[in-house]
Amino acid sequence: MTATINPWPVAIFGVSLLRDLDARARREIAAAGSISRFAAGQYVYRASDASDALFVVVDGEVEVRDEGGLVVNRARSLDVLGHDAIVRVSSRRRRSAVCVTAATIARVPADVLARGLGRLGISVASDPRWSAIGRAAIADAIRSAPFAGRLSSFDLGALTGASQIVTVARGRAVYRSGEPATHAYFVAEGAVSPGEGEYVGSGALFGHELALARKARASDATALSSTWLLSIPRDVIESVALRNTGVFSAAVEPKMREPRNAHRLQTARSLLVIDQDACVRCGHCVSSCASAHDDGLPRFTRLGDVVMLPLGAASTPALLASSCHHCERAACVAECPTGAIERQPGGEVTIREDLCTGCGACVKACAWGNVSLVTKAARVVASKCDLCATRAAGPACVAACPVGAASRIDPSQLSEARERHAHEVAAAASASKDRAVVVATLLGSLATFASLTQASARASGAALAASSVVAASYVAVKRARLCFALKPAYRLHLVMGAVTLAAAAGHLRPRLAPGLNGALAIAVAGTLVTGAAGWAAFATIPRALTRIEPDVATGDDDAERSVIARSLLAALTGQSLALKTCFRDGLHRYAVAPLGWLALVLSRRTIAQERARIHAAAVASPGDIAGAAQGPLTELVRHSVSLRAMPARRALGGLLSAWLPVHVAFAVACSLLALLHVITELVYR
Amino acid sequence: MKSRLTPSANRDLARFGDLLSVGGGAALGLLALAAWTRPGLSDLAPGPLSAAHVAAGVGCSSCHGGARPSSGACQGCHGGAAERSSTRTGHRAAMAQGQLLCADCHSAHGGSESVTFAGDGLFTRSGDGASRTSTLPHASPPGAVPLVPASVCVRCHSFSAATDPALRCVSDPRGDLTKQADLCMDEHLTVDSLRGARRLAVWESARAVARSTAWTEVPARGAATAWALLPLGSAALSLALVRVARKRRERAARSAAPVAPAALDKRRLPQIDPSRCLGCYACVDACPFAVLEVQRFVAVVARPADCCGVVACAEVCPNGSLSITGEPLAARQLRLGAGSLESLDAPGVFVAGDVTGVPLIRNAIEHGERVIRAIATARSASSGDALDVLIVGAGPAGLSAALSAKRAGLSFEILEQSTVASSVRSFPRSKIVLDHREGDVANSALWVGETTKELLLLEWQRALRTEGVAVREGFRVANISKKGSFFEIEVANREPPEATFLARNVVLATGRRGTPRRLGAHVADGCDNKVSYSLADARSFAGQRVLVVGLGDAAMEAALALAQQPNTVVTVCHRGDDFSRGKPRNIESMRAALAAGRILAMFSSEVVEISRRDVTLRSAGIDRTLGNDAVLVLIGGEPEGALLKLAGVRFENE
Repeated sequence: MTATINPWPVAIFGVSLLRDLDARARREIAAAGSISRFAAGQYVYRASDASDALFVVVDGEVEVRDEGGLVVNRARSLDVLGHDAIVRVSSRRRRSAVCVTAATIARVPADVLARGLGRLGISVASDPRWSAIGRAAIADAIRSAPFAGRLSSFDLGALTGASQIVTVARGRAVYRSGEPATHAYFVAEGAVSPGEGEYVGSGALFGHELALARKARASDATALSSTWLLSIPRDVIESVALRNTGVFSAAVEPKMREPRNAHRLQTARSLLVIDQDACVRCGHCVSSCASAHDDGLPRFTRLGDVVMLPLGAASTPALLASSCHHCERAACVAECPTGAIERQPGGEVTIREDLCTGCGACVKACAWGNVSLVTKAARVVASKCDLCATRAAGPACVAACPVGAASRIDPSQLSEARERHAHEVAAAASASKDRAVVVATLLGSLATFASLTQASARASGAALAASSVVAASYVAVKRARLCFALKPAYRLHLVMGAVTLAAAAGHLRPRLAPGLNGALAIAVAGTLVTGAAGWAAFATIPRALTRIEPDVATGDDDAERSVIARSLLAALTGQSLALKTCFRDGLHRYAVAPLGWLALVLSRRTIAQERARIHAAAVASPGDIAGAAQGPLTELVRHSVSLRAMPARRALGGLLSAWLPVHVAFAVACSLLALLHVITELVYR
Repeated sequence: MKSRLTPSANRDLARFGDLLSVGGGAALGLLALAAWTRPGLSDLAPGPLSAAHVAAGVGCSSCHGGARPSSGACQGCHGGAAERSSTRTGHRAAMAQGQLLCADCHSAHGGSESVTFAGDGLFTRSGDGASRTSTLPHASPPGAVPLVPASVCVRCHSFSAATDPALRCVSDPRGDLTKQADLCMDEHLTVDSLRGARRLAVWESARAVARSTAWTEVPARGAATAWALLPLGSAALSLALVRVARKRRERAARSAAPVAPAALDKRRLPQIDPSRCLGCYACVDACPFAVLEVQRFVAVVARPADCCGVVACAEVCPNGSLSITGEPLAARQLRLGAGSLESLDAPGVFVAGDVTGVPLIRNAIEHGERVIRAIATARSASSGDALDVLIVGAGPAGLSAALSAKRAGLSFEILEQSTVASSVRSFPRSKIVLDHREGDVANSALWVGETTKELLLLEWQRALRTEGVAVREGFRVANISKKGSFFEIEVANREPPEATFLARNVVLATGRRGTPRRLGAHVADGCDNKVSYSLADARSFAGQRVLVVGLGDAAMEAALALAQQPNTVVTVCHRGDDFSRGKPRNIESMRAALAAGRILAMFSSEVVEISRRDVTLRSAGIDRTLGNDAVLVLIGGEPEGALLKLAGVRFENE
């Protein structure tokens, strides 16, 4: 469908919207855009598609239809379609465009166009030439607001007429505390934190309560992403509120905690979530990601925020791994100066490496740090998750999880994901059913092999060899470059491990043979015992580990320790003597108490519960710290608990992974010795 | 920008490399052990050959003719089939069908033993690969009896079944069958046969011996354990080696990172080609002084006066549309070697840090390391009594030089006229020391990051303490003179006696705030101590009326810090009529503070008189007197020109 014609036909740039562009902008648009051939009846875009490009019809005829299917516009040669994309007030198409005849259509990325115009001093938000598009977009946005249904067309018209488009970059203030509240704001696109710990997303009105009350702002409002707002003057909102009592109070969105994560659940379209209670921290997801790509570099790290998500029946601690979220309105797409990052029709956000200059704008634009610069063929380019576009079976990270803890979910359809995941959880019900299968296999095969041993040592030996070869084939599955789904293979490995254990119990003599056969017996026993230990560790440790892990996994204990040490120093600087004494005699001793970490693990308290407990104890302790220093005390408690939990995390993490090298070493010794044993037995018996 | 996605930085990937090395290590360990001990076939046998067989010179091939030994293999030495056949009906039938072989009962490897009576009253008991001759006299005719442990019977018999005929051969069916041969001896000849009487006597003796002496323990268990555990050890070893190698690689990669900016000795401006600039903000974010801004998607030089000449912006520009060209700005230009920072006019005198005209703590630290590298490289012979290097000034550059000299093994002294890092110490309390490119100096002894002044000083003092560097505080250099190939440095101590140092090299790291610029105003008698030239701690001014003179970054930050103190009245006095320079963040905060009335500003004015209770400012020829408790003069400083001149360091335009 897509064919890149370079340079583009000059006629395309003769259309009114593109006429002003200089040669450089035209070159950039031609590089980042595309010219495609559409068949008659094919959709150019559909309603609710992402709205991030304009289309210029080169030849053919296209109809634009509204939600009801009515034809509202016809576009023929050198007409422009979807020009509302240039005003970023909505990220979704409200209409659809379908080809009447076969048509050739040029796609012009809106962000690249905005840059080209911006360099010429033409601002999309305020230039009069765009005002008609802007007005239409504002009207659409106001009509789509939750309070719009209760307003008359007169009031809607008043709001539309008075609204102005305001753009705010990520991290910049919409307003600051202490300023007079002269406007209310409607979030057309993006997200804002109107106060500490609060979050409002697209379609929400904020800042109107104080405007109506004619008071000064009580807090700073900060844009969480590049945000397009409609500012509505106070007198307009007042008059509308007078005519429609209570209309705006109903429009207030429930305020969410943790604006950062609330925002990402709102904007992300494909989140890699890892169920921390099931995750065995093996890192297969990352290594499979590395091997699924030609350059051998992974696209993410198994680090990030841990949030409670309704994945299973109950809320589950889930790690939002630092893998690209494929945001609906991706900041990296908007910030890329060459249009190298684009959103595919299927929703995945991908990087075109031929256009990437390695400037790092996307790296800084991504609020979650999910884009990285890497060096490929002596060229620095941006790199991020591409949802394994070249892999037919879908993302490798999900397929490679041996315990099925990793999944990719679209948070806008969390309930659906929940059902799917719940289904998976039920099918696995999960670990407990696996455990039952393994134990049943073990008992069954023990009985079988006990009788087999009576018959012949050779038969039990053959069974032992066969089961261990099947179990060991797991290594081949794991190392395969194009990873198979690892979960069934891992289950087979467990079951065959149980069979092998039974076969070994039948084949091995209680008395240790001398020489290499004795060595083989030790190696077999070692492999099986470490395997069983690993199985037990996988079944029990993740939950304990999740309890004591902080909300943010940074993955570097040494760095974290020094960060904690510095934060403690910073929190103590300039505080009262009472607080310092409280820290020295109480919190610090608590934090570094030998075996304190063990007590923490055994108490089965979560980090949050432990913090609350220690905070209460510190406040109750003698010394006047309660009133004076709540803030610093909370900081001190937080860091002290983290410090105490650190050795526990290290110990549990070690238990979770330490058995594996031993298992592997024994297994390798086992396979070599078994080979010798089988050969001599076949030759000399 | 640091990538977390490279294999060495990603722990999950590293783990998989670890497992490969574990597997390989285990295999290699096993192969190495095999090459060392050269195990023969006997090591693969179920057990060692019995001592009698070894004594008779029997080897593997004697019995294993390429297949499992048949009964025929034994009969070559032990006699004919008829004589050796079992007398038991069941055994005989099984042997006839080939289901029971000699070796099934008389295992040649492990488990079977024999007793040999020499006829001289002594006997020999032979087991797996070992035999013991007893000195206990025993009356028995000569002869040999194989001892068959009852454990071989259980391959066919079951001692738990009450009807099993073999049950009468063992005395303790529930005991250790491998150590029982009590009754099961009369197998091949019946007692009433011709030679029966003599053999009966031998059997009875052998039975007594089997009861009274110990069964041979199978040796070489230790070898088995070694074979099984050595791979584990070698796997651990290879894992350790791989990890050490990785750590070393990482360290090498880190220490290779700092690259000295190419043209530090020139102060020039960035030039931006607007037709190619991407508007990507790379240069904006790289500039520590916010010289650059992006306007209409193109970077522009917004504050040329703040440009420091460090070419960080050009380094990060992705397509070369920003380059540093143009004539050097008219600024102080010391004649220094670009690489070593050694004075071109006074060899042996090095200049480091702010005094070179290049700002930033980060640059000062790098300078300190650079000069010591140059000195250590050029050092040819021991300096004798003289020092290798004398460092003047204990700011970031001087401390960095001292720590580097300590590590390089040079003899050195570091002198400081007041206290360690006094300029940094005089930053406003909790001033954030901004440093964008942490990676460059993260490996250095002195740590810099986004931090506060207090933490920075703590870290530095910890570094000095752990490295054992002693700073001589309160030592001010009075004179530097050349004595042959050495410098003689006279020091005016706070208290006598004065001291003299002899050094081969001198590092001048005196900074620029060493002598703050003084106010020209008339100060009334006894009011000197209400005028200060640095702000140590804003809280000490709480509740006072403070006049801040100047409107640079330091002055603005001081004024803002003072304005936060309770009941403090802050007035700023500035000669210009508006903000002329400074970080946008500071200017923004100042404007907000002025708008909110937290700070009063007197533009276009200067201080004419300072008296006990007030100050007099002159603005447009009109004098105004304000009530005042303290004056803070922050109008920049001048370098220690005198010391540079004494040392013979000259300027470019001199």
